[in-house]
Amino acid sequence: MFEFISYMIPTTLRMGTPIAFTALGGVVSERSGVNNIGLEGIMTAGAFAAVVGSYYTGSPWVGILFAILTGILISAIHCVLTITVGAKQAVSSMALVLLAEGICGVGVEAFFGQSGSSAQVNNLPTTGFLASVPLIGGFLSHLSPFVYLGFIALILVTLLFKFTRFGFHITAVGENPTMAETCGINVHRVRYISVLASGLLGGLGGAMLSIGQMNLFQEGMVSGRGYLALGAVTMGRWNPLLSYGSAMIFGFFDALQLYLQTIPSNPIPSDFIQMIPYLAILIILAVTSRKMKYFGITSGGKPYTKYATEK
Amino acid sequence: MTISSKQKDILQQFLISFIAVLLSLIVGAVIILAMGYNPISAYGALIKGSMGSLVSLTMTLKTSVPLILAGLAVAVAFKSSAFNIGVEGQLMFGGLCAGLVGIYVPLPGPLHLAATILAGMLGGALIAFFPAILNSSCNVSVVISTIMLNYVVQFFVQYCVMGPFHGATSAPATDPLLASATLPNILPSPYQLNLGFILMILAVVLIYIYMNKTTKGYEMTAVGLNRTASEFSGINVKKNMFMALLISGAIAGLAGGIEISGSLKRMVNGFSSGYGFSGIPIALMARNNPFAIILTGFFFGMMRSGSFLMQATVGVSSDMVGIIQGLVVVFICLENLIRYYMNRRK
Repeated sequence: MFEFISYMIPTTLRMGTPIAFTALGGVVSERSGVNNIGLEGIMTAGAFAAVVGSYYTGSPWVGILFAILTGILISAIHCVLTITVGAKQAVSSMALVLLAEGICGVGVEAFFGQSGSSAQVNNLPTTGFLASVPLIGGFLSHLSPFVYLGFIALILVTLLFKFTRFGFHITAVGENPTMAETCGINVHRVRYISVLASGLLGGLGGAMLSIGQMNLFQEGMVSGRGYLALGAVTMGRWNPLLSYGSAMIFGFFDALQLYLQTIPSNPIPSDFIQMIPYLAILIILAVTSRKMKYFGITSGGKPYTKYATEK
Repeated sequence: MTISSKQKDILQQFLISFIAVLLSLIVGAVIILAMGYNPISAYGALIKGSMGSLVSLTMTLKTSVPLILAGLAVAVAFKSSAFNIGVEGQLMFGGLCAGLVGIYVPLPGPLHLAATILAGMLGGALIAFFPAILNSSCNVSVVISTIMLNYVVQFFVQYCVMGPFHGATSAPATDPLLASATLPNILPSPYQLNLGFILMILAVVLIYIYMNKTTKGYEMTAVGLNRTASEFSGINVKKNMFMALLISGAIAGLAGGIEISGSLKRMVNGFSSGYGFSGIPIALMARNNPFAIILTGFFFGMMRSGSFLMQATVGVSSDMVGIIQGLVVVFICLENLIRYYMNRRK
């Protein structure tokens, strides 16, 4: 039992944090009224950019920077299409996913001269310097710095919505853009910044997958985690802390899946074990959405621009 | 002769799609250029590889069949405002069901073939049933549930094909289908086009009639156009979205069944290389119009079947097609902008 717990806690944090980063980004963007089901694409692009950055400079930290910039860049497309032009948000997000997958496929061949996966690069080492912390030092020293960054991101996003003027503006814009505009808030500016912030966080989430958990990029490595993050946002009722917690629940099922695979002579085929995280979210969402009285952000998904013909 | 406003609208939509494709090809050319290749020879190879000879043209038509059906599946769901991104999973499961019936359920003559294709459709509809019921009774977003099921199906298919139903060879595939369960060719030997092509045309026509000429189909479209108004006029919104998803799943399953019993003639693990996801730009480009989907699906089929020659002769990765696919969606999203300036000019 102790062995199980000591395996599950760090592994849950390891598997849950990338989803949590992306979910926090999703919260910021959706609270401003812009849905983004293309988080998967942002994560994919981030994961790839992180490897490219680390490959060319040898420093995983530069890789993280690359991932952040790429996440912002790719979500800028979503900004222009949905906020300025007023395109259907679900459609524009799918563009991000298709584009990101295409670009990473071509990019892997262009940068590394091989298809399917990149070369191995320097990854981010675990925080070994924390080993001297009394009592839990051994535990802390095996965590990725991304885990701590995840905590910091959670605190920052929570503070943003609780205490800052801009956070209130985001909520106001999401609930009633016309009213917000009347009060002198620049709706498009607030939404642009929110969506770009979600790109930043999604890029970080992707970077953790490629240079935090592994040391290379593989096509299809995100395998639905962007959509899991989307589910975490819904399950967390657009609240940063609850969304972070939901992401960790998915992380837990992912960790459970990994743990079950390590058991020798397991009678259950590994294909079924690998289904666990995806089935878990379906069941959890079915149970939690059923009694949901709060249907999300009022202006979520609706365009607010002169170009849009439909409201 | 004056043009009616409806005709003008169709013309405008056609123009917008055309502009979107043109822009994506131009941006694609810039990317090819930036990677140090010649875009003209790359696109040349793409066309030559897909339509250079009668054999390659029929190959392209064959590749287009599952793409067109995937586009049709996405479009049917879209029409009732359900965004089905689980077509990929429904297609794979349809293929699996068709394959298993084709191998293990010997039936006399054409009955076997019919059962095989029908099993594919039922399999696809079954996978679409879960998101449909989750949406109508538990309010779960269709987007999330369909995509999650893609992964579940992927692992399930992998288990079946690699495990209990694995074939005699080491290939990741089952044994071949019985001859009575395979779709016969409709053209003489070097040209590969099977009966699936006719089935696809039939599906397109039927869906067109259903969506445009029947009350039930009209209700479905109405739900997509204006949810609140339909609700007030007594249309059951949830029931219609439910039905639309089931039909969408059945079409996706048909695509899988045709691919297995017509082209591959055995169930292969991971046989769908993103057909379901290509269905999204295909449906969007065609504005969900079934007949236009034949054209846009053929366009994507062309890019797919030509991309191999492009990679082999010019060196541009066949993943380039994926980028162009994404770009098409990006530029289709500019629709409002293009239309705004088109209408303002007058």
